[in-house]
Amino acid sequence: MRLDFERGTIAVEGDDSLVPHTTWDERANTDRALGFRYREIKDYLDTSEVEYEDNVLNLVPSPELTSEIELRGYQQQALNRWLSERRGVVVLPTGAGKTYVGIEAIDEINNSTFVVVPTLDLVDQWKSELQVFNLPIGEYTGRQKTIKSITVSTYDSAYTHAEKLGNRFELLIFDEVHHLASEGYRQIAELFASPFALGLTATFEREDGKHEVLGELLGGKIYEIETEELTGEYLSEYTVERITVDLTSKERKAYDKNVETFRKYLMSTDITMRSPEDFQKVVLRSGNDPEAWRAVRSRNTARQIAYSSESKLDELATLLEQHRDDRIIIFTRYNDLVYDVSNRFFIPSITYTTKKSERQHILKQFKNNTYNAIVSSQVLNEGIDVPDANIGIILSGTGSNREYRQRLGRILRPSGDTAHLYEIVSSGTGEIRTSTRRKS
Amino acid sequence: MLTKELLEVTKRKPKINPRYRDIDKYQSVATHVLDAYESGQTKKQIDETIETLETHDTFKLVRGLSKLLDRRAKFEQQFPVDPSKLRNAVFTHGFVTTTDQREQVLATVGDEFELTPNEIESNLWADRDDHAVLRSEPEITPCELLRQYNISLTQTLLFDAIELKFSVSDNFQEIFRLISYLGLMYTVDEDLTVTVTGPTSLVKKTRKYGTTMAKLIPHIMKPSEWNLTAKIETDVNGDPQIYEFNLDSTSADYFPAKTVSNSFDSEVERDFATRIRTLIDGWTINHEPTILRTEDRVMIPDFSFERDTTEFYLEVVGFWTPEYLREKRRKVNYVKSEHPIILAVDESLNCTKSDFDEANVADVFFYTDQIPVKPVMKRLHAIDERKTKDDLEWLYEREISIAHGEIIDINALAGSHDVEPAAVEMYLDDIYDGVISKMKFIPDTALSEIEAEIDALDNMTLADVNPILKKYDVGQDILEEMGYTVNYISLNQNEAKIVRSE
Repeated sequence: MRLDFERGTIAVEGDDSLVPHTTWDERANTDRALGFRYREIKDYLDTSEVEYEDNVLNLVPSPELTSEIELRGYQQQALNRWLSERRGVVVLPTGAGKTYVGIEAIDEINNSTFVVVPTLDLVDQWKSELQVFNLPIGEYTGRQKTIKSITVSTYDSAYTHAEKLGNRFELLIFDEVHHLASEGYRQIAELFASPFALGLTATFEREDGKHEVLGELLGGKIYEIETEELTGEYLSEYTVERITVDLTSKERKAYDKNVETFRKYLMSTDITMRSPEDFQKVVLRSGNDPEAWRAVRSRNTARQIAYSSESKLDELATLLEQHRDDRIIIFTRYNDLVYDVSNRFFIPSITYTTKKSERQHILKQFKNNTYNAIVSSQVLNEGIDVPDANIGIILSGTGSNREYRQRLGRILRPSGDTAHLYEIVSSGTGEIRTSTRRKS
Repeated sequence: MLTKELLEVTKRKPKINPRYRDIDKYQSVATHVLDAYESGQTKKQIDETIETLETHDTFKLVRGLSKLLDRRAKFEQQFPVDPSKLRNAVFTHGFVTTTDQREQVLATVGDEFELTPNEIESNLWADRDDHAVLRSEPEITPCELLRQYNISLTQTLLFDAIELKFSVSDNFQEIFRLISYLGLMYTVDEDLTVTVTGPTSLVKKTRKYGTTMAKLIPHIMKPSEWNLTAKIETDVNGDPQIYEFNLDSTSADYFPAKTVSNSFDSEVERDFATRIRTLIDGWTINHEPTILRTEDRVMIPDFSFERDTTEFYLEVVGFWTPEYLREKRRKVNYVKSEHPIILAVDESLNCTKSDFDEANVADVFFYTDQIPVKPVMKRLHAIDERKTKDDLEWLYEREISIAHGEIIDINALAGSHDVEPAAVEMYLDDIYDGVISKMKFIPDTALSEIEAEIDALDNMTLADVNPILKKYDVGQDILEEMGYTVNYISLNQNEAKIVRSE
């Protein structure tokens, strides 16, 4: 019997005996299984003492991989748990040093490793952390494609190129592994034959329940420690304050008018707004119903008024005055609002369109205290190594529990003092509801 | 291709279709969108104009057209000082909370760069995409733009395809090269319909290959005849459902007109095609005419030679890598073809005839430098004769008989038994008494009838005989068979006398 790696799959040739997880492929006259079944197939063949030729892995040559990192107690505990199966997900709060657990896993496996992360910022961050191995680190992304014994990639690039990368690495590490559960990305794990895999995240559970699939793909959650257990010793404490502001009278008028248009349309139909899906029904109709189209437009305008209200910016001015001597990070979802804030208050801004050099410059200037405030849209949401800040201000938000926690995580850096988080919302708008829902 | 949120579809289980826009009907919309792209306008101004064009019926169309034009247009940014330098200078002063503070910072930074506060203000963000200025207008007609839009919609729909089937009348080489280049897999049905999937498709239904399959679409649409069917997985209330999408070349007017560029693999092939075309008459020669099924892939023969019901393929084996040769041999061993195949093998490959012992082909010959025309012709005829011989044997075995005394149409008889007309000719000539003229067999009894009619004529000129021949639909050549001679005195048929030969 012979096992080959073919574009993300294991081709099993030359025997009639049934190998688990394989299907007959008449297109190529061979039995075939998804790449990630490799370890199970191998185990099965070894236990049933079937002789086979194994051509699956074609590992990137790797020198000795050693790092000299001291793990904290809970990090060591997480690593030990992982080492028993060499599969599974470790859940640690943001700021608790997930990356170090990953680095020590590489040290233990001591062979070629592929690290998958959600954003280019995280690629940069991992590459810089991985310097501890004293080796050139590879990068496989849209901007660069070099393969080294340790290679860092994004979910998008890994998804697109999994077929050709799937047999080159002994260990797979997924940072922010909750992303892997999505319908598309889970195929990354399926197409890799790597026998060992580690998932890292601060937020294992997904609202859509899809994290369940990680069990089969990676071995499920094997270690978790809560923020509360680390607060004090490893993470700083923080307070949360919600500030509601009224729309200006002009905004209020425009807001009410638009909401009215939307409501009137709803009343003329059988649609009740209970969830985002209900709104999608209206959107679907807007293609052939001018009224629906107008309703959608009005609703979007109303939302925009609420999110980017003048009063919010006035309130922000007050907060900024109050925290002149603090280190502040401002979040908002809307890029337009980022620029409004940046332009009105002269606060450096980072969005997904900000060039890498400028972004690094801004973060550096913030780190060395030349700047003491930053405003950003979602790019800072996940994992990026943001310099310590003790004030967070959220100008708008979505209803996602995960996002809320990770945004908090930004300022949960052990900086000594207690941190403050403010959330500014417009009163009498749909936003209030989102914010309440999220807290629960 | 467009992003998914710009895709408009109509669904009626089990069918799904992109909402294609009629070229005439929506020409004015396309014209308005194009007009918005006026040199000197900023990206932001253009976007604002575009937004005013949106109606409930066209908003996705308008945005889609604009997306396509953004890719064709050239925008340029211009500023006296690098805006990121200005920003750094501004931000270094710390944040401001009042307009006075703000003015103050602008003035200070202005002094630093020798610009007015207003100039600082207007250049602070000049490197944002919104501020870029249109330099060259997109060069495309409204109709062509709509066609681009329609094909883009098709490709975007395909993003969610889990399987794509197609058949085409041409462009095989380009399409199959692309399929393997893209890492897709395929099977071919007996009717030569190709089903494209990805490596993991058999283990699980996946949309992973949809974006890749979409890349095939422009190539499938190139030949004069094509049709395609795709299984599209789309979420309905959160649950994936499978719909079917059909399209064929009768809708070609909706899409950009492209033609197949039939290029040759090598100079050797091109040279051969040129020479043989001038030499053979009565045969139609086609380059890469079809696909043939082999074990688990297709083979595209280099040439076909076609005459009447006879067709042959010529496959040139003239490449040099060992992998290529191995692959080629595997293909020719398993090829399923209705028509015979001849292989022309480059001698420098160091193959021997025995290397092709298992090949499912009619003949193999070797060549150096250029493919000679003569052996091809000779072998075509030899295969032709062999086929006639086989058919003749078959006719003898079946003892095919004909109605007594009737004139027989040889082509019709050959057609009804699916044999070569030449075989029927030989067969009838051998076992029945009679003559053959104009692909008709005239038995002796019928011949006697004609003879009697001719003999009964008062005046035996060609002009008098012709109506009789015409009645039986036979040629003048049978006159000789019946023992007459035609004596031409002049070119005038009336004067050509028919006389009994001595």
